[in-house]
Amino acid sequence: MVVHVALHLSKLFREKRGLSIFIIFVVLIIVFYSINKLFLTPRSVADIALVATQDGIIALFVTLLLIAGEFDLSVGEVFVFSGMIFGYTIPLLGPYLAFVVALLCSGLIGFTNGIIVTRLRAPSFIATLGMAFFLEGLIFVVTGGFEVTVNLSKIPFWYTLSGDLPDGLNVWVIWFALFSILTYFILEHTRFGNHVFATGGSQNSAYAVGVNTRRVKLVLFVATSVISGLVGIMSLLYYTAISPVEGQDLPLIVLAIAVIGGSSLFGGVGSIEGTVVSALTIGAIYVGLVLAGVPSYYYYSFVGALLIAIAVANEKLLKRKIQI
Amino acid sequence: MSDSLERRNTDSSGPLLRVKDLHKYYGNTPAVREVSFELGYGEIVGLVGDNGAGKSTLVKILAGYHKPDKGEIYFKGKKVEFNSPYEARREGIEIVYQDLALISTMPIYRNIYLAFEPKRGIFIDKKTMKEEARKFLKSMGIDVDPNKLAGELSGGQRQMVAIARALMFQANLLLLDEPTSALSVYEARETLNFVSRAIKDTYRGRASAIIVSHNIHHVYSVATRILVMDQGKIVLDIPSKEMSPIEVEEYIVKITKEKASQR
Repeated sequence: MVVHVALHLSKLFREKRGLSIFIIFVVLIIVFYSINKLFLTPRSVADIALVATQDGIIALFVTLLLIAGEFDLSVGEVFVFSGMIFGYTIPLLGPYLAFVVALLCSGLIGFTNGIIVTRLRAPSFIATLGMAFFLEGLIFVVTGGFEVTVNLSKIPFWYTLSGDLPDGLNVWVIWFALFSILTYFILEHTRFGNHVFATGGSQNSAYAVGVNTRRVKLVLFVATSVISGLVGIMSLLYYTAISPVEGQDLPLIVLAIAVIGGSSLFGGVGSIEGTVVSALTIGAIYVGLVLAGVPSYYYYSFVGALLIAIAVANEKLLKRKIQI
Repeated sequence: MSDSLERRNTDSSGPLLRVKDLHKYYGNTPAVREVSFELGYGEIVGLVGDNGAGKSTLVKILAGYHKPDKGEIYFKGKKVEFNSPYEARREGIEIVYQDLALISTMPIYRNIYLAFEPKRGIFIDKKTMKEEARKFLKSMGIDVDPNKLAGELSGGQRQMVAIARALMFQANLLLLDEPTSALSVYEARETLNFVSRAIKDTYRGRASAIIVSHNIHHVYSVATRILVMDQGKIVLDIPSKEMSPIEVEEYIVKITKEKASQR
């Protein structure tokens, strides 16, 4: 009986890679709540949401890219670069055109990443790391190391990107929900989603049966960059300032969210549900540790340990199931 | 079935495939040169030759994986130029590679419909994909659950599912690149019998197959005609009844020795 249950559970975990993070999420909620009852107050939930959604929106698209077998280390610099372009061009173009120009620049960076990876065949690790350094240099040259500031709080339109909701929440929660639903349906229920899985599962096999694998990757690099740029602008609008160093940890945090959510660094495997729960878990850890009175430095150690444990467990489970 | 595949017509008055003076170079090295042949409906051709003879390059050109540098391909009476494997599949040419047959991390039903997924509105019709895949695999005598990941199948099952996929889309020309090289003796025999049954019985007169193999004995068990390639050229084209596998093997050894002595 016990063996039967164990086998059944093992099968369940292999089939649903996001399940482990879901269980960890629930356990953490219980633990943090039992340590400090303030953990589930609206204010704490809003704080969790703030941490989870900004990184989570980018992580959704990084998940698609990871499933297609690539990753993007330039998302953090695109985040700052887009905010910088937005802030600097508002006096010249007005906020609406500046917004479009910033997103176009972000898309162009993603397109360049995509071309370097798919046409010039550079590994995405190198291509996007190079792009990150290039943008970082450019950002410091233009800003001189100073923050870029913007204040559009008097214009109602911009509430849609950064406005407050009741109970300390902001609209990022809605954007995160919308992008989660969008990416979920794209991945699970469209031809493009099927091709994303195939491209990361085996690029040569996918190409051999007619999948345009280069286009899949190019589209995902562009989408990831545009979204990173959008989130950069959202962050700038919300905090009214963006620092040139703000994006430095971002690529690794979003990568960690995707991997903790069940995505494989080897491509072909991952889920949007896993990434959503993983982003919420990262937010819960951040807020939970603060409320538990643990020094904030431990946050990274906690996330790091979780990342290693889940990545190792998931790869072992997958290898046991199939011959790769 | 996908709408793009329903347009396929079968003009069986002429040959299924006509290849005229095909050339392909890798740098200055000719991989395929002066290759011309015709293939009729219902034929199973064994394409054999030594390593580097150009067999794989030839079938990859026919499958749209490579573009030829010179030459013409006529398929079902129409001149074709494929820019990608997708275009070749759309015309009715399917290829099954030894190691690229299926994607391990995807369920079988998703593998089967890859690149030709049926749609309902803007979404793929998963229900139809699962049901049709299950029905078709069963009709071909393959007893596997289409929800399983392809990586869970044995080598032989993977080849058979990949071949069944090709036939499910009503391929007129099935190209098999070393289909038995990674299989056990039993699995290899099962796979080749499966191809033979499909071409001779299920798809009688509608489809043909070219099987690339190192193993002449394997090919002989199903092929009706043998093409031997050497240094990119077709050097022998005979009905399989007219020469025994040993004789073909000796022929290949002889030309290989001649080539070595000329160096």
